[in-house]
Amino acid sequence: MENKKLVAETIEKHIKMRNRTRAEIAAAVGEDYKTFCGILNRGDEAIRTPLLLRLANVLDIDLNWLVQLYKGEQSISFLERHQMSRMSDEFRKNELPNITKNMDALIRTSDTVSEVKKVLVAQWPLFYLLDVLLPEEYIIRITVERDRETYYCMPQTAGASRFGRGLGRTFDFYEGNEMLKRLIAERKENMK
Amino acid sequence: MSFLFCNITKMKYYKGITEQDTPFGGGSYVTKNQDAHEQWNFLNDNGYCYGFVQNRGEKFAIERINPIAKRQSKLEGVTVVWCAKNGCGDTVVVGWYENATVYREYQVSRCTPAYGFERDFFVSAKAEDCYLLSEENRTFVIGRASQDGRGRGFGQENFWYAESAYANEELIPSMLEFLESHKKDRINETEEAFSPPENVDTPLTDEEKGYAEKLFNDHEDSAFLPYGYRLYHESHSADHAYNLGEALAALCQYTKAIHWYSVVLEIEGNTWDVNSKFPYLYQQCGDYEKSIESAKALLDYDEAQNESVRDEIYGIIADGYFYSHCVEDAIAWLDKIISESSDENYVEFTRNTKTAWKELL
Repeated sequence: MENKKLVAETIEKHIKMRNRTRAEIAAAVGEDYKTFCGILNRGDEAIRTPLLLRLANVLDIDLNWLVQLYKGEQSISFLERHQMSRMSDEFRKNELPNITKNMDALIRTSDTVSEVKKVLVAQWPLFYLLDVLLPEEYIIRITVERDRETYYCMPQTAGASRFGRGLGRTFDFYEGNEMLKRLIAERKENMK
Repeated sequence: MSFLFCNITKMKYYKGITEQDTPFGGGSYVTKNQDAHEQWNFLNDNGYCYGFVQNRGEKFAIERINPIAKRQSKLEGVTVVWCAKNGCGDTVVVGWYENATVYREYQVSRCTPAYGFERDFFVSAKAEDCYLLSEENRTFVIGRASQDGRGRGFGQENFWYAESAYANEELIPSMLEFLESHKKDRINETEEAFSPPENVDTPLTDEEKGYAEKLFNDHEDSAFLPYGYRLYHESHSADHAYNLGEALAALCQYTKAIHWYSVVLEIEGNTWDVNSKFPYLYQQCGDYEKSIESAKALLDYDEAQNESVRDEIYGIIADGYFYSHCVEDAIAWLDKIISESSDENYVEFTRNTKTAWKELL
């Protein structure tokens, strides 16, 4: 994936969210503090699988979801667009309050949806935001083309997203950035 | 000259609903759903604009625009005048299409999983022949029959054939003067918006390069495009050509995107990641022969060994033949899907498609 520190950054954010420090987590996973910091700074390639498992456990992160970030593909064309595993319901329920709290604060202080989105994606990976905010019945697919990730979101009922048009079917999926804007706009509307 | 007046919901740009541009005054459907099919009326879609107006009867009596259209399915050379309420209760001209083709029935736009979007239209015109006015220039009032008298404006329908003596002898001549004088004021995008900027040969600063990268990664394609051209001009690299292709495709400039992806191939040789874009791009452009040809070529790649990819390529080929009215060939490719795919849902969908297409034989 384009962001070779996607997992490392996700770990960092969850350390903060859990109100823990790097030192505490290093100790919890049995790593020397300096070594642990070095691993996170170097990025995803430095994170070995056993450490990943321990981190997921200590930070209460959906392991399957984390692993798929770790295994990021080099190249996925549109024709191949991979379906991402959604995080577990429990994980989503744990993550949602923090994200919506941040989103609501931004909505109150920003003029536009675009501004809110800009700040959110600066703080969090787009896939993480989509996965937390989208209802469970949505599918998220990813393409990685020349190091640029693009996400496509669609309700499961639109499932035949690969099918040809032929008889006038509706394609009901949105590019990830557009989907996030819609989610923000919807929340903004509901806050009125 | 032939004219058709259409009353649509008020928007600024008619390039899709955004936070800054939402429909206003469009009737109960628009109010309830915050949606209006005419929201795309001035989007430059691969060099064309496609217009919609609500028609309860779903057919347009195009012979009333010009009698030569009797028994025809479309009429060319029409000036379509788009009108909307101006917030003060008047209906004003917001824009117009010249040399437009008006269809008797609604048409459905081409749409693929990768490009385009579903919408209905009944008018099409080259983007260069389309003129959208800014709000301050929307000053030419078109009457309403209920207020101004029969034959002096829109009736209950959202379109007016303007057949009356008043329309032909007074309104239209006056309006033509207005339109001619405001052509220079148009705000819709034409060819220029998607072409290299005047300063294309000005090298970028490091700051500009960083900004361009951010714009591209954030999918801010309109803003990125001028930088993208300058980057390519400087480097002639495949990656910069590729990024231009991506931005132009996202801006619905499919023919231009094909050109830039072809430049990538000239530089790098054949690659899956670029060649895999052509089938849907050509299909979106209506060049079904090239769509089929490029899709068939993909079957030689290792990536096509992936069953779901292969299924989709077969589907593209079948669609290409179907859109080309080669229904027998299309069905032959549906049969390949039915016999080779292990995706039960896809096979069922394909069987249903085959049944429907066979009825057309």
